[in-house]
Amino acid sequence: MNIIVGVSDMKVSNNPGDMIITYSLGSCIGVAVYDREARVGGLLHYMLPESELDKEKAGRNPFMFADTGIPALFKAAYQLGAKKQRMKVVAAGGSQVLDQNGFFNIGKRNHTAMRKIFFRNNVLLDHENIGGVVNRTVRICMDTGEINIKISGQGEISI
Amino acid sequence: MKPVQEILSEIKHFDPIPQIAVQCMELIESDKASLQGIADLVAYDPMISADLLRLCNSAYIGLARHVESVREAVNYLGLNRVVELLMVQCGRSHLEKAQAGYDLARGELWRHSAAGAFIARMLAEKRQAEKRHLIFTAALLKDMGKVLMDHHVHDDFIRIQRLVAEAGHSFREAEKAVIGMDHAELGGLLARQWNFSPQMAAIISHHHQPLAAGEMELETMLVYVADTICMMMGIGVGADGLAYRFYREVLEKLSLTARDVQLIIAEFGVHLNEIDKMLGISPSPAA
Repeated sequence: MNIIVGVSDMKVSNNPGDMIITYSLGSCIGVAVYDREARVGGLLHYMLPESELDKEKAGRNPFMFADTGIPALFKAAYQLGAKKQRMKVVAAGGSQVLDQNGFFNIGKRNHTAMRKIFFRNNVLLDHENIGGVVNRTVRICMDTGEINIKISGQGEISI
Repeated sequence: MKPVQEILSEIKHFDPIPQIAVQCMELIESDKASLQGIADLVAYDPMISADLLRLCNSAYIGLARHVESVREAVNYLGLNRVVELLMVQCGRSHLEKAQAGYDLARGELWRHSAAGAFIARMLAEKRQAEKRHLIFTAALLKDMGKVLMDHHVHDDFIRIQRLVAEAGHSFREAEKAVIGMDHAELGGLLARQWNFSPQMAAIISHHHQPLAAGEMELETMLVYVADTICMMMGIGVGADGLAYRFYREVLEKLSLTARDVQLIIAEFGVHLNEIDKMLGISPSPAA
């Protein structure tokens, strides 16, 4: 079954028949995790770096922000039996419009927020495809654990 | 025939937008809009009328009760919102089609257009701008040029993409360099062909260069910021990605900070799923 992760959304699965997909990551970032042994995978699509922007919204939907969404993704995956040391972690997105001064750079802020959280929690990224002006789609095949990133105008890579 | 000549001849044969959209904008821009006037216009078109009521009754609009006539919808929603929804419906037949050149699945351009229009309205309200209908409708129709441009972009995509990737062009600049015309300019010509006002055409033509919009600078800047936010949120973004220029002066002129923009993203993000449901679009283009 195809499980679609919307904007500010997160889904986990332990069903090998599933495909978890998130479309259209602009400045947003998609974080995909997969534990091959437990066959558990999860995908988060967050829009903004920090929940202090609007705590009430973060309370209602933690998946909107990096600092509330990423912990929620990992917790949901652990609940299905995934272990941090076995998990493959992949991130994609964080694009930005052509802005020489970087003033409007939410993509980069989203990326920095993620790196900080991973650093603090000893999470190693296996692969990241971040930045540029492209639009990305991320897909996890729950059967094989393969994580695919489709990049607009450039094709697809598989991790 | 050269692409520009070909495009200019294609404009003439392009299916027009439903006439009701133009009549409605004429009424509004002349400040003569009334419930009766709009209801009469819509009553002539039962298809539009039914679709309009479906939008009015959507969760995004959030009416406490189900409305069954345009008159009732206007009573509960006000003339402004009903006219906006009428415009969204009128843009549908063109904007809903898949655009292979821009790598947009069916529904994605319409989704981008409607979301951009709703964000532009939020910005116009915050800025207390006048001419909100003009801003909303221009934001909605700004990428109409892409519909006509699509097969030319498809044919020349590699050359356009190369200019973006290797020569630092924005996608619009690359369209102009390769094809001789860009989708914004073409959208402005279409707006004139369809008898929309010169102001509407000016906003559409300059929606990627708002500081060149002259008298329509404020309205164009609001449409531009809304479009930029949509791109960043990944709403209906295709092969052109986010390859458009950002002008910091625009935010300064509008007195918007980077934090304000994040707040708008958070605010609008909450409603995105409701908008997809309202438009009947699955947020899942064919993989």
